[in-house]
Amino acid sequence: MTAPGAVAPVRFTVDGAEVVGKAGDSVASALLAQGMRILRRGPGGEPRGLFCGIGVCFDCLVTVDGCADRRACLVPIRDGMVVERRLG
Amino acid sequence: MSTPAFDAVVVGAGIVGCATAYELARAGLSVALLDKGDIGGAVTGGSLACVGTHMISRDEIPLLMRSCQRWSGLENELDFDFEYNACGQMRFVRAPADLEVARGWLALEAGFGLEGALLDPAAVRGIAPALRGPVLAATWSPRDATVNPFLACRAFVEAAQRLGCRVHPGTGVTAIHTQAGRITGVTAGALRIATKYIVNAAGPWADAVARLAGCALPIAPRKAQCLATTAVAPIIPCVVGACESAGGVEAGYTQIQQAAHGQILFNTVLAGGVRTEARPEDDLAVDRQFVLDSVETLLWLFPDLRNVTLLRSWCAYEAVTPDDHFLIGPVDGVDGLLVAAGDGGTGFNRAPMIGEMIAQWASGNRAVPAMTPYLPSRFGTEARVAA
Amino acid sequence: MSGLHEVDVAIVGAGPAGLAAAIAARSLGASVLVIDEYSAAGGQYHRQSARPGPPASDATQAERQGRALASRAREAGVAFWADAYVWAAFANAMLAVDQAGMRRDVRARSLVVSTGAHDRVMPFPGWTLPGVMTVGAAQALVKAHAVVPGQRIVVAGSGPFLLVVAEGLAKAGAAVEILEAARFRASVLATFLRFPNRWGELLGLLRTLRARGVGLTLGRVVMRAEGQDGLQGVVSQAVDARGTPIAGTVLRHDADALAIAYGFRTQVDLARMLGCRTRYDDAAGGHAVIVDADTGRTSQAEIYAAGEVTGVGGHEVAALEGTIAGLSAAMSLGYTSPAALSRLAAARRGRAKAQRFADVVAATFAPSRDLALLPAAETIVCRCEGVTRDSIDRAIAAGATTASAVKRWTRCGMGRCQGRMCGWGLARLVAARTHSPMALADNLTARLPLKPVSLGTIAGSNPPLVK
Ligand SMILES: Cc1cc2nc3c(=O)[nH]c(=O)nc-3n(C[C@H](O)[C@H](O)[C@H](O)COP(=O)(O)OP(=O)(O)OC[C@H]3O[C@@H](n4cnc5c(N)ncnc54)[C@H](O)[C@@H]3O)c2cc1C
Ligand code: FES
Repeated sequence: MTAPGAVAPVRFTVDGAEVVGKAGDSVASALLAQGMRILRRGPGGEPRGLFCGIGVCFDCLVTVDGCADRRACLVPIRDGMVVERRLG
Repeated sequence: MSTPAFDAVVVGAGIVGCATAYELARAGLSVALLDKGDIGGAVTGGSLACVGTHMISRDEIPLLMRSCQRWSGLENELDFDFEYNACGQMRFVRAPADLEVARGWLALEAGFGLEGALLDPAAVRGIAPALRGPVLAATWSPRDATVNPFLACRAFVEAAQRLGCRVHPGTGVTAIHTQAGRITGVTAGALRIATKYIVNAAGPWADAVARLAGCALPIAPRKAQCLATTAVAPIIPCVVGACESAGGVEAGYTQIQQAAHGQILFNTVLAGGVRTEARPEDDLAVDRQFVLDSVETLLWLFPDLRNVTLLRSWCAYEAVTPDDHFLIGPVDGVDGLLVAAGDGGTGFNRAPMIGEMIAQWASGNRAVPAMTPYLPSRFGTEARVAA
Repeated sequence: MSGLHEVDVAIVGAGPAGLAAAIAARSLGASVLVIDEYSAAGGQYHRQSARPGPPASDATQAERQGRALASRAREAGVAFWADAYVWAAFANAMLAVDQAGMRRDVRARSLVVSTGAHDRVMPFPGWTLPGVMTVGAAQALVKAHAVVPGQRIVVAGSGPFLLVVAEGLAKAGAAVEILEAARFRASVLATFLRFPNRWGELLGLLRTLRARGVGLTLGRVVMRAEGQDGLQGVVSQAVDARGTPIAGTVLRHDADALAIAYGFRTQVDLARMLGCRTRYDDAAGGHAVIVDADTGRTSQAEIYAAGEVTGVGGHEVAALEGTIAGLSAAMSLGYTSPAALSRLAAARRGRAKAQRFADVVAATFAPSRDLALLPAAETIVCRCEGVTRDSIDRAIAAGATTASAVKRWTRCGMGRCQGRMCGWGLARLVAARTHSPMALADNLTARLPLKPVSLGTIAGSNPPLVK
């Protein structure tokens, strides 16, 4: 679902599994491009994903390199980055 | 349109007004509760709402004990979960001089049969493992509790409504009517109510409300501020306060606790509260120095909280009297005008007892012994009819 | 801990208004610092592709303009702090900034607040499903990351923004359908005809949409989003002028993405924290900072506001207001140039004209009364705290008659987004239930921090976050 154009691949992991995104992706856009829409669970356990896309709603919170509650829509991906979702 | 009539009108729906409206309704009076803003929207909503007996007031311990007793049964009585949590309170000691102060308080409270202890740093960590800051010691009062201030108001208001009380938020009193020195009614915007008794529970606005009846009250607003983090897993199991050698709010204070939903609520005022001449609504800004001091103190005590995020802050005004004690009871000069204000920053501690006293008086018992130390007449001419 | 950074004019927000203000103030000789939360200047309208390297051949005009503006500002000597969020403003225009985890303090002699707006949403059943997003989110995905959020996308809600974003999504390869809530009346068309310079723009847009097979239906509202672990379809219904659903008009649309917004909500929290007076205009985004149109001056000395914060009016109005505010701020500090006054006059004329059109647009897409009825009893209204509509209703029945009162009793609006997502829907619910005006009901207040900030950052002892 990504527009064409030769962009450098970026390898990172999500919950231990490798994901390949493109330079310039945010965590959320890279996951969405792979069809991974769920980023965490809400207070009632229901799935949540990217919502506002611009850092306002805080619905896209993930743990990045051990740092909790980072907004997946704003954090750019980097090679070797470790992303964890709170799906419990 | 006919004027609705009530036995009593309570002006101000803070915790004091809400508890009083409930007690009046429970005593069988018909009651209307008015507030110019939201219910519990003033300092009550900004409160950390610790209800306890420890290091609050040297000469009010019996009253505080009765009040705590009452709070512990109110969830049942009002049939509402307002997050009452008997978590205990500790006051940390930072300076050697405070050790004596701490022992003094503990001895005084023990004289009334209250449990308490002076904890060494290891014992402090036994209760609150995350409190890793270099405190010298801490006092411990195991029975002190916290409540959710919003829900405590709601509990009183809903119970009062079930007993027939009418509640009018967003309805500020604009005029008080008297005839031959007796209360006859109030006007609040478009609303006109006939009544015999008015209970002025308007907190820092109590003087302004009294002036509508031609009286003055020695009550001044004092700015209070607080911060809250995002919710985190349980880490602060009790109320953590400071024990300063001079004691009391004027010398600076710290209060830290974790709410039922996980947010850490905290504040530190080093400079001491400032009484102000301004109206409470004029300055609602949270001050820079306050934020820096509060964060520094929290991290000094709980270094692990460095990566926790600050989420909210607020500012409200407490009502202080010259002797730091409430004004409770009839105001000389106007028959039927009562006051229940002047919380001095610890109104939750006393609210249920204040409600009881006012209800006893309004039910015809004109000599309520518990009220005596709080009568506005103790300031003599200050609470007189203004020219 | 870094020291205090002092500057003549600080500008918060690097969208069209902020960039124009920066260029204008700098051109008169003032030292200028622009602070923005995102990593590239441009704001929502001029949003830049995040791909490294030169702009793609298919970059939009808005993106190119933004890039040009940002480099013009930089070349002129405007300082730009990216990834920097103003989380508090204190007395004397002291700003507390969180730059990627680092604490920075700024004192400006003059301040321009150009913090813009964000999408405005009304809660409805299913709106928390992954795949449901704001219109702005869909646009940002395509513009910044060249990622299309789905293959079959419904773009719904209200406002001309729907058309623009639908065009971008369709060009990127998605099958797109637009459901616009507003029903156009003849009077609106007649007003629109008075702005012939806008016809070309609109017709061009409609032509592209048509060529790409994008359907556009007026007077239709998304009632519900459906799916298990993510969006599978949406259910829509036709509405009358008050927004009341019309019986017998229910339709189901297959969709793996829904982009929805009912216009924008102004981000006035910083301005309000600074004490700037506001007015309330629901059609123009809610609370709007009151400014003197000739200077951009707010009710507070040396504080200016420009762009959507003064009432949503689009990028043209925003840029002109930015120029006005930037010139005025610099001039009030004693900077000037021979051309300053004539530039100011030209910007004022342009703004007045663009504002007239913005007013027509706002009136056309004003949210309808019955939007408040969209959430069902068990619908989550507050996404952060999971507060449902029926618990809000119970609080209202017990005496909570404003948004702030409901917040205390239910926690609605008390989460991390600080009511930005649910605040408007909550206020609409309260206004509908208590028959009170939005200006009273919509009363959540702005307090620090404007967005969550870590305690270590405040203490000034945090190392910067790795980016
Ligand atoms: C950060 C913080 C921590 C605190 N911690 C504690 C604690 O741990 N324990 C404790 O006991 N206390 C604590 N307090 C203090 C406690 O909150 C107050 O003592 C208590 O809430 C006072 O209640 P009140 O009803 O007297 O006043 P208020 O809450 O001020 O109520 C007065 C009401 O009167 C209304 N009013 C005013 N004028 C009019 C008018 N003309 N017509 C109608 N209505 C009017 C106002 O709108 C207001 O709602 C704390 C306070 C703060 C800010
Ligand atoms: S999607 Fe809203 S903050 Fe990231």
